[in-house]
Amino acid sequence: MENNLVERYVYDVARRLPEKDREEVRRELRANIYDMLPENAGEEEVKKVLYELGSPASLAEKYRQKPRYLISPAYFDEYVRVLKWVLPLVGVVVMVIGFAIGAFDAVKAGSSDYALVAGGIVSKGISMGLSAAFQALVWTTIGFVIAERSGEKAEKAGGHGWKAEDLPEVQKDEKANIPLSESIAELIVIVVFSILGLLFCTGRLPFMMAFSDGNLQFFNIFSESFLALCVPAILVSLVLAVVEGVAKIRDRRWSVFVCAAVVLKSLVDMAFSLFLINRPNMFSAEFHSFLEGTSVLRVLPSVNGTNVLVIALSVLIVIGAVSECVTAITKTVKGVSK
Amino acid sequence: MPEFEPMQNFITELRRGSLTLAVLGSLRQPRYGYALLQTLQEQGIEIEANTLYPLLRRLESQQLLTSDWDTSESRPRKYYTVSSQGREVLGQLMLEWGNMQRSIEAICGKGNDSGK
Repeated sequence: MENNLVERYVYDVARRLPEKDREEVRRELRANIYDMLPENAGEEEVKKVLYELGSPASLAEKYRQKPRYLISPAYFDEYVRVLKWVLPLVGVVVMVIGFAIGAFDAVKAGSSDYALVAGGIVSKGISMGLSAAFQALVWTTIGFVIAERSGEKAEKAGGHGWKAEDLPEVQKDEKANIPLSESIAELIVIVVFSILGLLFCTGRLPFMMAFSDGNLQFFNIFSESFLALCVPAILVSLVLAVVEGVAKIRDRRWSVFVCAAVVLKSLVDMAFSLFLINRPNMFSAEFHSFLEGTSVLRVLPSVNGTNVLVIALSVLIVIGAVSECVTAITKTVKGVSK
Repeated sequence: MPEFEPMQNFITELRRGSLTLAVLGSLRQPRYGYALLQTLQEQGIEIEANTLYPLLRRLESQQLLTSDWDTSESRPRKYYTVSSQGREVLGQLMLEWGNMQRSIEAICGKGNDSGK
């Protein structure tokens, strides 16, 4: 029994160590423990010595040459800050999408058992939300681990792990700084939404809407030819968003590079949006005839054959893009001139 | 001494580096782990088994100690001895130790009139 405890202790320490060290540590530790025990030691005496040595985990930690981290204290604060807002955001948004898909599935199945339908919707939403949050957790962690390892490598390669030239300019105006957590979160959110968008446009996710005029009806809102146009637009926008995100993560302030990336992205996004919403065949035939049937189109007049709503939206898109560019340039000019 | 909470931390930190000196110094003659532990404790060095054993392993992997398993007895024992490189390191550390002691004494004063 006592021998058994010693063996179990030694095993528990050794299994936490690198394989090449295990056999020797096991032998050393076993010899040391038996030296510490009186002849024919009883169980109590064995326990006393083992407690003196401390928990196997803490002893193994001392045997290790250096502490191990997945994410070191240097990065941990940033990591937590990013998770704190990426996880809830991605989780909640995808959960809402899951509710919609659950509702759609339920109606398509034609079930009239409301408890079952509600259960299906809730479970779809929760399971999708949870798995999306989990995905976000995994990818955020991987991102930080890569940052951690690349920093370590640079240090080993003879550098200092950082460069004095890279120190940020002192910003009197805190607004000129871009928090790392914000950039990473932005990047993750845009990637998630782009992927969802691509899934919609390629017909892998249903995107329909129910309208009730006495009974429920379902339409594919957008026409296939329109969705096919959206795919390259989303891809280009995603690439630009990644460039912008990388620029922000690299510089962490409104540098000229960051500003250029932001301006480029908002102008390109503006061009795509204007082009897309002015497609005459934007809506599917079914949705179009539904709109004709309601009073919506009759209330909104057309100017030169273009719907007033489209014109208003176009103006809003231009205003949005221009104001984004102006904000970016102002922040950059302020930051650089200081 | 009145209980000042971080006191134990200060003492542990202060001692940590000097343990290497004590270990290297004691191993000018071969000793096995537990015997070394007792020797050190008899000399008034407060060191725990769970600090000493990993330290021995580290010093060995840094080639400051050499080791030999003695399997002639009923129980095998690992005997450690300071290597030639270990002696060199010990010599330099002792110099450093002396320098540091002189500097601290010059700053804080000797012995009992500390801080005055």
